[in-house]
Amino acid sequence: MKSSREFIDHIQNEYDKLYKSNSAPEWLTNVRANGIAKLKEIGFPSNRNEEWRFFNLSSIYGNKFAIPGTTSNVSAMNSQIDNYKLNNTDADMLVFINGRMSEDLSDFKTGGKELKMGSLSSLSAKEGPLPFDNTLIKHAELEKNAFTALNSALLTDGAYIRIPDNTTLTKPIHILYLTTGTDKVTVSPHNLVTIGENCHATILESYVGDCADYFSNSVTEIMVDKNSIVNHYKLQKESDSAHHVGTVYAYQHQGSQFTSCTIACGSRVNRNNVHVFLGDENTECTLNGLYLGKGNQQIDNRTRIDHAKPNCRSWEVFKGILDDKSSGVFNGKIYVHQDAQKTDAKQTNRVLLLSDDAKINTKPELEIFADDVKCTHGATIGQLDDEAMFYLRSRGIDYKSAYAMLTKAFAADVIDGITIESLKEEVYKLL
Amino acid sequence: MLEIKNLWARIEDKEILRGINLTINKGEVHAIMGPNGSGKSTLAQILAGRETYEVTEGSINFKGNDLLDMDPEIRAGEGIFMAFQYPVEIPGVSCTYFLKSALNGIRDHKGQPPLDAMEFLSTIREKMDILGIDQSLINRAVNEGFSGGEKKRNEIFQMQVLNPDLAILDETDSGLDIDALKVVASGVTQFKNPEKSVIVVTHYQRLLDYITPDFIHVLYNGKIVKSGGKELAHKLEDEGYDRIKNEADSLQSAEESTV
Repeated sequence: MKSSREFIDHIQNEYDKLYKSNSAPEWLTNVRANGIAKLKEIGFPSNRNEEWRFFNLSSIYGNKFAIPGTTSNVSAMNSQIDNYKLNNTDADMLVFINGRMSEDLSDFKTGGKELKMGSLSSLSAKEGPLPFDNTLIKHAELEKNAFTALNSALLTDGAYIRIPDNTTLTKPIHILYLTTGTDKVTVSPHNLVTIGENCHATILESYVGDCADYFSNSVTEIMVDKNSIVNHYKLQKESDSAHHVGTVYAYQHQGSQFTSCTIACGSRVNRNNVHVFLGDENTECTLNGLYLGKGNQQIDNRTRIDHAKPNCRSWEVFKGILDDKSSGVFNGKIYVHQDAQKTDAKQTNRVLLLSDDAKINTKPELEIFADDVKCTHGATIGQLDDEAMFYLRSRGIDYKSAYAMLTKAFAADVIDGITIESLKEEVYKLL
Repeated sequence: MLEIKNLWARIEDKEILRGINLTINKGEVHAIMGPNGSGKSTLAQILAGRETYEVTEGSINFKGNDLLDMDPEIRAGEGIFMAFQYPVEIPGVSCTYFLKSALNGIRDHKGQPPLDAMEFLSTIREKMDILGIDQSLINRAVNEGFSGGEKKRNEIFQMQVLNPDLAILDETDSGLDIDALKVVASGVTQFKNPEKSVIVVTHYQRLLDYITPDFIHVLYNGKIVKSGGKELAHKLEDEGYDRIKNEADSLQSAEESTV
């Protein structure tokens, strides 16, 4: 097994080669320098670390992923990009190729005086340093994560979205990351989304790839200000042999509602970290996930919901459908702070194992420091119901359709919660 | 229509059917009765294609074809329908979607084009009225949270919509109050015609007051030990199964002592 030490050395080499003498803007140079320093300080985890116990770290450490250069001939990719767009849905598209935004392929018209949408690099070139320091990257939990530090160290670009107070977006924002080419690359996108007060917004980030082996290590931070309603979707459809580590971090202010659904079906090795911080009273969070494994895929979900203040509610439903020799992990932590009285939290993980070799490790973790709370969790692991299969088939429904009907039914409550119709349809097609 | 010859079947090491012979012609209604554990439901399930049971000997011929060779969905396409003793709850699949898929699956098997939503709705509307099935029921998930009576009525409703050639009712009367029983029976009576055959599997005679069988067979220990006309049901009702059991048991021991 390759050690994490060798991987850090490799990252340092890549960093020195490309970034050290690079004339990047000062803010970016600082973010990268802080990232590499932090990475060397905390080091990459090993499987002895409980947080990473089941994750195939060596499959990442064993590779010499390179930082991609600028991709040429990007504009020729138009028709390819069309395949990844939502059907019949008018969305503001921010398209990133190998971690860099393509102005040609992107298409976003929503704007306004205070509304900012674009890439970190283009907006900072126009408007000076972006308020990186004010965002959540400083949050302690994130800082402890070596892959987040790695993301900062190798940062090239990401989406920057700032929605001013009292704005209702009529169409979704779709951030698309395509990793392409023949090189074994690593991309480190970092998305910053700041939603003002009394807003309504829907954001989809999707990750796709057409090259064989690469490592995509994304971080998305979303800040939801008072009384805003935000729907967030993440669709991970990386290519079959890719590695994907993704972290979504959301911070909610008073009276806000945040709904997130993470759909993972691509990549060979996948880690989804989702962390929502209910930072003020009367906030609501719906945190859903659907993970679909086949072949030798490994999908490791780690969620954390912090109830920091009184009278907040969270609902979490993660569903997994695992076939062949795929394996999954669900580890959901709900952390109720001392001050968070009248918390109402419910967590569910349900898994459907479609083959004898598929495997799941599921572990709820409730840490409760307040005394007047309602917290429930439940996990079920099952197989496709033989009785139900026979019932459907005995009525004339063929095996394949009956199978699909039952798997769809299993995932229906998670998928039906998706508010973008075309995305809902697309996810149903994945089953 | 159906010809069962010397059918032996077991589940794991337990022999359940021990040489069933039964012939059912077009337009006939056969009742299969018998005490608990005699193999009645096993026979019904084997006809529908349940794979839990292993057929070790014998043959089943349905409309000239080898039934045992067919998957359950092919049997449905060929015209077999079994109303389940315990209809399965399927959360997340609506009755309408389920029934439309089933009907179109059968139509596809017969080489007919699928029905569109409008055609489908008009097909089921009429049957719903007959059985007093409420719109809200078919919008719900299949059998989920249905009362016992609703489940059985839903089975008969499916039978009417799918319109099989051979309907097998597996203890459809169990757990029904008298009103539900009448509704179910009238559903079956309307279904009956000279082209269709029905097998009614039941423990009690009371369903047979409403659905008059042409033949009654008594199953005991995996064999048909007695066959007769509809008067046999009343005899069973009066005497119980004990007499038939005793007769069969003494016959069995006589056979054994001869060996």
